[in-house]
Amino acid sequence: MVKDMDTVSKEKKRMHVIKRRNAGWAVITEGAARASKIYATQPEAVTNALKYRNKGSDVVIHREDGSIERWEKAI
Amino acid sequence: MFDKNVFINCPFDEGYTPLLKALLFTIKKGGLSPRLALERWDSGEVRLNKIRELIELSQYSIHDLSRLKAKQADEYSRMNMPFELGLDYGCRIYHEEDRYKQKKFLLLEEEQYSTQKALSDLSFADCKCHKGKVENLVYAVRSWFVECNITMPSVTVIWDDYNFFCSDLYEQKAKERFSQQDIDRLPISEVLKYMDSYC
Repeated sequence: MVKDMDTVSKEKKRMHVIKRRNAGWAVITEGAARASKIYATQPEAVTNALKYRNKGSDVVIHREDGSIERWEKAI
Repeated sequence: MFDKNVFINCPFDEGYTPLLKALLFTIKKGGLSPRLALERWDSGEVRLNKIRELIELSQYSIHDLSRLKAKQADEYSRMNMPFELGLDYGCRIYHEEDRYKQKKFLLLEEEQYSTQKALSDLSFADCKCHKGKVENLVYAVRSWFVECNITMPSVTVIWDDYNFFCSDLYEQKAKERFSQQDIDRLPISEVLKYMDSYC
């Protein structure tokens, strides 16, 4: 029996590091209409995204294919 | 429903799985139903009968011919995909029912012009190249649906939403003590059920 996805907690805000087609890596708040900023490389995007952990956000770092590479919990 | 079903004829190997998942998600974002042999698993079912049923149920078809060329010595080329494309093409041409004349195909390939080289009978066909990149595949499929007059969100919306979906799935399965590898290797039928509840 597959559980409903609604059981996933979204109490915490999530910041995502996502590959952008032909345009580097985006740091984006889940549900936001636009990326906060686009960076040329993934390490650069990750470094900047991790700052949001101090503001109570989990940071989810995605691989190029969209799957999860790392999940850093909020501090 | 015939006009909502999309038959998927693509490689089912591990290397293609990330592309397949994003493909399924893109189809669902268009309000359509992906239909593929992996949607149900019954060892007693004759595979070719299942393929025929899926072809006859679907107005749209996506054929990815990315495995026409062997990648190493002594490796066989994969012939299932061109064979199933032939069946689908035959259904459109020879079937007596009018609705099958409305069938629409999208041909995909990993290496540009590889289909023309391996299958010259298809040299008339426009084949979209994704270079093995998931985002390129999402772009090609979304563009094709729009050409078929299906309303679709933008590529960015689909792509971001797919990434968010992967996060939800990861969090859900991690709570159930699935490892990263377990999550990456979830059966496609299970991933599809999660997409059903998400989209």
